[in-house]
Amino acid sequence: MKAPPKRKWATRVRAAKDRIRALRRPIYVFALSLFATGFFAFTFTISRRFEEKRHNLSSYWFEQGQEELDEGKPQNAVPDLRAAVFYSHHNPRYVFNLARALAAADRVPEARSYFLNLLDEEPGNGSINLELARLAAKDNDANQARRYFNGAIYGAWDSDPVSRRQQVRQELINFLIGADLKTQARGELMSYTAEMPNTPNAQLWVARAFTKLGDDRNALDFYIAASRTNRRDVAALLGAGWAAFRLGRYHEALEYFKGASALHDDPSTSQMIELVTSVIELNPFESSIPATERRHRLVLAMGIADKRLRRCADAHDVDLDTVSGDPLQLTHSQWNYLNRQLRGTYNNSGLVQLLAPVASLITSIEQKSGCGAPIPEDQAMLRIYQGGGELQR
Amino acid sequence: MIDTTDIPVNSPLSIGGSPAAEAPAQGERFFLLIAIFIGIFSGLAVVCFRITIEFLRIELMGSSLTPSFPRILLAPAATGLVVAILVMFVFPRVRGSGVNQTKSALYVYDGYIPFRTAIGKFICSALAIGSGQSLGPEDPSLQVGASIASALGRRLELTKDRLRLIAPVGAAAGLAAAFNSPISAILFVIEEVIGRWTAGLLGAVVLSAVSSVVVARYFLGSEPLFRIPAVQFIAPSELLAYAALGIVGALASVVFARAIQVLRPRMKALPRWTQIFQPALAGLVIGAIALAGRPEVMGAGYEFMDHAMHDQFPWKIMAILASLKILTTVLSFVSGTPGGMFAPTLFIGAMLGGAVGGVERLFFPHLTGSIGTYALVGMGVLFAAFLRAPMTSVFMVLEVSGNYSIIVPVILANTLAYLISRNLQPIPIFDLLSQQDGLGLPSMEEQREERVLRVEDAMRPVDVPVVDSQASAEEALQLAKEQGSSEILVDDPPFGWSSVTVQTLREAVRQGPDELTVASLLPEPHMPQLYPDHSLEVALRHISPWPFLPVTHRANARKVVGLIALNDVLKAFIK
Repeated sequence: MKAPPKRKWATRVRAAKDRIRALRRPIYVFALSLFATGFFAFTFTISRRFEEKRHNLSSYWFEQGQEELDEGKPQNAVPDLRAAVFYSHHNPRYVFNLARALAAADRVPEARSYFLNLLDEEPGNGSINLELARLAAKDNDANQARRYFNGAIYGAWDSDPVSRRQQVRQELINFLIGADLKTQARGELMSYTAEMPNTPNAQLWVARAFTKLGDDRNALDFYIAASRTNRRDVAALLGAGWAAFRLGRYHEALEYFKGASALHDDPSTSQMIELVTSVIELNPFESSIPATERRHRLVLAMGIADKRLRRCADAHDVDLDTVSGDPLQLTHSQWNYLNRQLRGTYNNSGLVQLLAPVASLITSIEQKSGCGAPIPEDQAMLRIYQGGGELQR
Repeated sequence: MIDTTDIPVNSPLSIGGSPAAEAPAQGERFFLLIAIFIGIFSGLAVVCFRITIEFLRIELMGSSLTPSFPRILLAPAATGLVVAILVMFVFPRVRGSGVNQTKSALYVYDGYIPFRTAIGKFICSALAIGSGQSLGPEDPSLQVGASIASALGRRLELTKDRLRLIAPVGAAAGLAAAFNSPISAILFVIEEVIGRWTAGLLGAVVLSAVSSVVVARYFLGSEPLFRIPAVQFIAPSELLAYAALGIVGALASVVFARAIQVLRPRMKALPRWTQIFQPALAGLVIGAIALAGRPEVMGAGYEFMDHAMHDQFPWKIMAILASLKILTTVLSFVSGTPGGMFAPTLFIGAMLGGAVGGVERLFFPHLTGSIGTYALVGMGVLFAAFLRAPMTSVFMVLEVSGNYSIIVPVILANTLAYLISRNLQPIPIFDLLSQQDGLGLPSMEEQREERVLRVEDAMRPVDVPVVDSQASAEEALQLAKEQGSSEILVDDPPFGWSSVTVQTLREAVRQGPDELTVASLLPEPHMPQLYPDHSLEVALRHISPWPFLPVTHRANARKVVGLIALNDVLKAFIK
């Protein structure tokens, strides 16, 4: 039996409604997706524009801050660089410079915190490690300083890494010397010598570092190397002269001082030449001299010491010819005793045996205080006889 | 509150697998899909909101972080005037933080939040925060998210029940995007707005929060709002300092809440024309404080929380900043300026934490970890004590720091702060605000601590005969007669429990064959079973049409530990 037309329409409408109902949710999802895409595009556009604005502002404030920093006004640079970082959190260069400005403005904890955050992101960065090392050095925290200096030495550098690492090691050595960590400093210095460039400046720097460490032997080698690389290097010649002088190699020292004086005449160098000449002429410890010469030099030395002793006695108002228990009188009686012995000794072995007591007496006389300024001869005496034992050996 | 304890096997609620279950499951899936869209829209809206705040800050205060004299004094005051006019004449519903408005949408207005509120909140809050009012963007973001969700729900013609729940879903999305921390946002919405956990709702909240955070991170980056310092916890004895921080934080939060409690109604009670000038006056005071040398109190102050966490302020300055921030936030908030209290709360917490850490370092330098750790814990402390969201406060610190080694100090300090603050200020701040606004919103704190009546509180001993279903009807009838009972409880393994009346048995014995068993007389379906720990609400829902229900042992479903009838439930409630 056929359905009436009215009922047929109603069925169709119901079916259409069911179909629409079934499609309702997918339509919603589609519409929401479209709307989300539009909203996303809108947000993307304004976000990019705003990002551009922030970028411009950060560049502006960075330039301002950098200028202040270059002019040596870190306090003024800090707020500008802070603004630069505020508008561009992701720019490590800005953060790095802000931290440097803070460090320069003595705001060490703040600076350290920024550097540490940067280091978290780039643990192998040489520059950041170096800055942290400097801050630790400022705080006299040797352990941390060494840690970060080493991080900088073995870290990555944007340009000229070899030279940067050498500079950092130099800075580390200077820090260790300053902190009186001589053993560690010597170790680092030896490492540095293995990789240092063959330039007079580097050789001179190493020589000076050895001098600071009290290692005149190595210092002399590097001063000599520097003066050989650059024969007109007055500093190297003077350094070599001094190192040789301290080592008791007076003839060498005289040569270096004369060489330096020839290149650059300086009163202090002339004084040194005079002193070294006196030392050479008065030195009784030289093994190659005959007994008469040794005796002559000892007699001269005793004479200079006597003059010094008398100056001391005058200054302290002591009569050396009487005996009242004054230390100067006691020294004078020792002097008399040794002088008598010296006058009666002519053979070389007897003179060599007298060297030690004479050295001890002369050193004690020349070291006495309150006797007026020492004359160059006194300085020479002290130089010769203070290290007399060693020289004799 | 919905009880989420499990429902017994024979419960009428267990409909899984039946054709009837397909329609709700589809609805559930659609709801979850909508939650993702809500998250995307909320995330995009929050990104736009943050950009607008930043844009306005640059335009109003200048691009320098140290604004010039006229701007610092005039921008907050003049903008305050504009905001007041907008709030009074164009967007009257946008006053306050936004958390209570979202709660009222859930409990009072069936999920309805006018979309106009979202627009108003967006504009007014952006103006206020951008001009330096001491308020934050998180609570407005929460409300904007909730408004978007509500509008979407209405447009999609969701059921009333779903519509009511959709606002918190949007709220979680908005907060997650603003905070860049989804877990804290989810917990906060569940702890403070919804107050309950259900699988479907939790799924929607999680999806929306995660999708909004993904969107926000795409545009704003994945970094937290502040740089997290190296977190240190030196020694157990340091816990004493964290306990002190908990106490100080609690006291500060009480001062903060009391000031709002006292001043807000007074400000509202002033003549209407004065309300136009209140935000401007608050802005003027804030500008004056900034001009006097403490511009840190302006705006949300995230960059200064960052400084506090990196030991960039001396402890005395941090203590001063905490006090000034309480003052300026109270002024901004009670003046009716729209804006949130999350950021100021975190600011105060960070400064107090830093100050306490600084003092400890002064006296016990060998016992103190980094000041940043104290500042971080301080944030959680204020969050727990002032906003009264203890769970969120703990997870927020852990989520933001990404470091679980400070969990012990965080829990200790937060718990202490929460307990002290609860004693000194019994009404939480959001409940206080809703009371002042004349809204009877449920207190989540009260709900959490409400005593739940359970089946074990109402059940009675088994006082009816219990027979096996394979027993003959005659035997069962005899047993009933002996015990004088009109009902018999029937154990029908493996189907469960049922009951049969003496009258049914009598008729069966009279009419039926001799070997008729009790099983053949049992009605369908079987009785729902209850356990002693079920809430009475569950019992009440399933008790009808049965004369009583068996309460069985959880480890042995065939062991009846008691019976419960409608009368027993009512008696327990009356008690």
